[in-house]
Amino acid sequence: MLIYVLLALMALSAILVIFCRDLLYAVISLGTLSVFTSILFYILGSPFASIMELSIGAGLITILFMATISLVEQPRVGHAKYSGRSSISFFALAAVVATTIWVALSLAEGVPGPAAAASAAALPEVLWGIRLLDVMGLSVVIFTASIGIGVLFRTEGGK
Amino acid sequence: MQSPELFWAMRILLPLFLGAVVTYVIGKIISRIKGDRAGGVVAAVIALVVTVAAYILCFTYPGAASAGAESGIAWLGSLKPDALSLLMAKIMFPLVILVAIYSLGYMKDDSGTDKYYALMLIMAGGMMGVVGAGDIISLYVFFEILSISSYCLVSFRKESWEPIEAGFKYVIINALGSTVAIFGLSLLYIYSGSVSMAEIAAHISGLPDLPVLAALALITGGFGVKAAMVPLHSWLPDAHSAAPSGISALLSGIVIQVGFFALLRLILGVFPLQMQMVGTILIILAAVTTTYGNFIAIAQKDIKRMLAYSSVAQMGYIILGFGVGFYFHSADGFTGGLFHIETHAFMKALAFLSVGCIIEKTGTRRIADLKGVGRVMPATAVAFTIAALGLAGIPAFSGFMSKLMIYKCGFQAGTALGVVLSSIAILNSIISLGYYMPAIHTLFSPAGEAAAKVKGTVSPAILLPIVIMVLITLVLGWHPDLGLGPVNAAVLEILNIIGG
Amino acid sequence: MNLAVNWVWMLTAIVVIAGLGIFCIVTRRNMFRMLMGFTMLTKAVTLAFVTGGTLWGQPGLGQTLAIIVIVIEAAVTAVGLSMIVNIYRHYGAVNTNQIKRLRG
Repeated sequence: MLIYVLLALMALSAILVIFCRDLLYAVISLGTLSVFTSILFYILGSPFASIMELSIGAGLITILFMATISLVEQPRVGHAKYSGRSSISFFALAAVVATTIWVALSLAEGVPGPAAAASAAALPEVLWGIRLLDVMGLSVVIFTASIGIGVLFRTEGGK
Repeated sequence: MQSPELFWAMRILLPLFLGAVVTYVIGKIISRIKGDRAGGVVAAVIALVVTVAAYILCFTYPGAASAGAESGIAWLGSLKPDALSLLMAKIMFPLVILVAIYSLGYMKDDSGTDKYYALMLIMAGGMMGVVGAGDIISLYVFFEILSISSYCLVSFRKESWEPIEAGFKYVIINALGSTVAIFGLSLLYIYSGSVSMAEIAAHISGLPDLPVLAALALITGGFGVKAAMVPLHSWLPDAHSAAPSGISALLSGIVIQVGFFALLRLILGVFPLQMQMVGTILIILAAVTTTYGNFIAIAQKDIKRMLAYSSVAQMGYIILGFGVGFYFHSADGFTGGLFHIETHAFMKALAFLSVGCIIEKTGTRRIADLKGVGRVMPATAVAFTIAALGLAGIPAFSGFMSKLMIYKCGFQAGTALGVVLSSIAILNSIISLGYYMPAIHTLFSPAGEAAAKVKGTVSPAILLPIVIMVLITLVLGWHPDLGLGPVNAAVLEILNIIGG
Repeated sequence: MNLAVNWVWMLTAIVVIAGLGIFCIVTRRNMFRMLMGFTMLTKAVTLAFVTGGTLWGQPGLGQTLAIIVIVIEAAVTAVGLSMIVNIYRHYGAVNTNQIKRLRG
C-alpha cells in the first residue's frame, strides 16, 4: 500500500515541478521527488541505490540548482509568465498523462512475475566485479565534467 | 594470443583516457610556468603522441585469429570489439590526429587549450568505447562520456554568445535524446533481466510485439537525435556552426556517425527479428533527411551552416545505405553506407577545416562577403572546392565512389522501391550542386572587400592537414579499393550477424 | 523479495514520470525547468532499473545500473547549469524565448 502512496506522491511532485510558478519551489519539489524515489528504492530492497539517490539526487543536485538559481534569478522573475497559457498547459498535461497510462497498461503484457532472489549477487561484487569497466567510465565522466566546467568558467583573457 | 576485448581496453581505451589526464596535468603545469600558449603547444604535442601511438597500435589488432581467446577478466566482458569497431577506429584516429595538428595553428590565440586537447582525447576515447561496447550499459556510459566532452568543446569559445547558446541547445536536446534511449534500454532490462545484448535478444523473441516495438521506438528516437535524423536534427546546424572549426570537422565527420553506429549496434545485437521493419523505417527517414537537408542548405547564407545542413543530407545517404541493406539483405548497401562514412569523414572535415581557415583570415562567415577570397588564398580555396565537389558526388573524387555504391545497391535490388530510392539519391546529388557551385563561384569571382583584408600566409600547421585530406579525397576517388579493405571486413562481420 | 505489489502500476508510474519529464523539457521555456525535466526523466530510468532488478531477483545488478545513471545525471546537470550561468552573463535572461537568436 505504501508503494502506491509513494508512486502517487512522486507523480504529484513531478507535476508540481512543471507547474509551480516559483522556481525555488520547483527545485524543492524536485528534491521531494528524489526523496520519495529513494524511499521507494529502500522498500524495493535496494539500500545502496537509495543512499545514492538521497545524497546525489536530493542533496547535490538540489543544492546545485538552488545555488545557480540564486546566482542568476532576480526575485520577481518567474511570476506572471504563463498565467494565460496555464489552462491549455493543463489540458496538454492531462492528454500526456492519459496517453502514458494507456501506453504503460498495454506495455504490461510482457512483464515477468517477481522472481525469488535466485542469482542474487550482492552489490559490491557486481559493482566492483563485472561492472568495473563502467565504474572506471564513471570516473572518466566525472573528470570530463570537471574539465568541462573549468572550460566554461575559465577566466584567463580569451580571444 | 591476446583477446579482442583485452586488446581494446589496453591499447585503445587506456592510452586515450590516461593520455587525457596526462595532457591536462602537464599542459596545466607548463601553462602556469611558461604561459598559456606554451602550455597549449605542449598539450597538443602530448595529445598527438598519444593518438599516433594508439593509431599504430590499432594495426596490431589480433582479429579473427583470436576469436576463441579468453581474456580471463570478467569485467572486460562488457567490451566486444569486432571488425566494425576496427573500421571506425581506422577512420577516427587519422581524423583526430589531423584535427589536433590543425588546432595547433587554429587555436593558438585561445586560452585554456590544455583543456581543449584533453577533452578532445576524452571524446576520442568515448567514441572508441561506444564502437567497442558489447552491452547496453557500457554503450550508454561511453556515449555519455562522448556527449559531455562534446558539449564542452562546442561552447569552448564562451566569450561570444553563439557557442554558448548553441551549446545549451546541444546539451538539452542531446541529454533528452540519450536519456530517452537509456529509458528504452531500461525497459528492455525490465523485460529480459539482463544487460548483455545476446541475452536480451534471446529473451525478447518470446515477448508480445508491443513492448519490443515501444523499446525499439524509444531507442531509435534517442539515438536518432545524436545521428541527426530529420525531425530530430534541429541542434545540429547551431552546434556545428558555432563550434571551433576543428571541432566542427570532428562532429560532422565522425561523432554523428558514431551516434548512428550505436543504433546500428543495438539493431544488430538486440533486434535481429525486427530487421525488415527497421530497414523500412530507416529508408523513409533517410529519404526525408537527405532531401530536407539539401533543400534547407540551399537557403543558407552562412557558409558553416550550409556545411552543417549538408552533413544532415550526407547522414541521409549513410542511413539510406544501411536501410537498403537491412530491407533487401544486400551486402552492397552495407558496403556503400560504411564506405560513405569513411569518405565523408575526410571530405567533410576537409571542407570545415578549409572554411575555418578562410573565416579566420577574413573574419566573416557570410557567403556573399567571401568574394574573391580564392584569388588571395588559392590553396585553401582549391581545397574547399575539392571537398565540395567530392561531397556533391562528382566523379574522380572519393564521394562519387561511395555514393555510386549506394545508387548501385538500390538498382541491384531490382524492385521498384530500390529504383525509386536510387533515383532520389541521384536527384539529391544534383540538388546539392545547387549550393556548392554558387559558393565555389563566389570564392573565385573578382576580388571584394573580404579578400582585401587577408594578409599573411596560412601557417603550415593549418596547411598540412588540409593537404593530407585533399590527397586522401583524390586517391580514394581513383583507387577506392585502397580504402575498401577494412570496410569489406566489417561488412562480412555484419553478414555473419544477420546471417544473410 | 516477496512484495505484494502490482507491477503494472509500478510500470505505469515509471512511464508517467518519464512522460512528465519529456513534457517538461519540450514545453517549458525556462532553462532551469528544462534541466529539471531531464532530471525527472533520469529518475524514471533509475526507478525502471531498480524495478527490473527486484523483478528478476538481481538487486545487485539493478542497484549498480541505477547508481551509474544517477552519477551521469549529476554530471550532465552540472554542465548544463554552468552553461545557464554563462548564458545569463551574455543575455541577463534565462528564458529561451528571450534569448533566441539562432534560427532553426
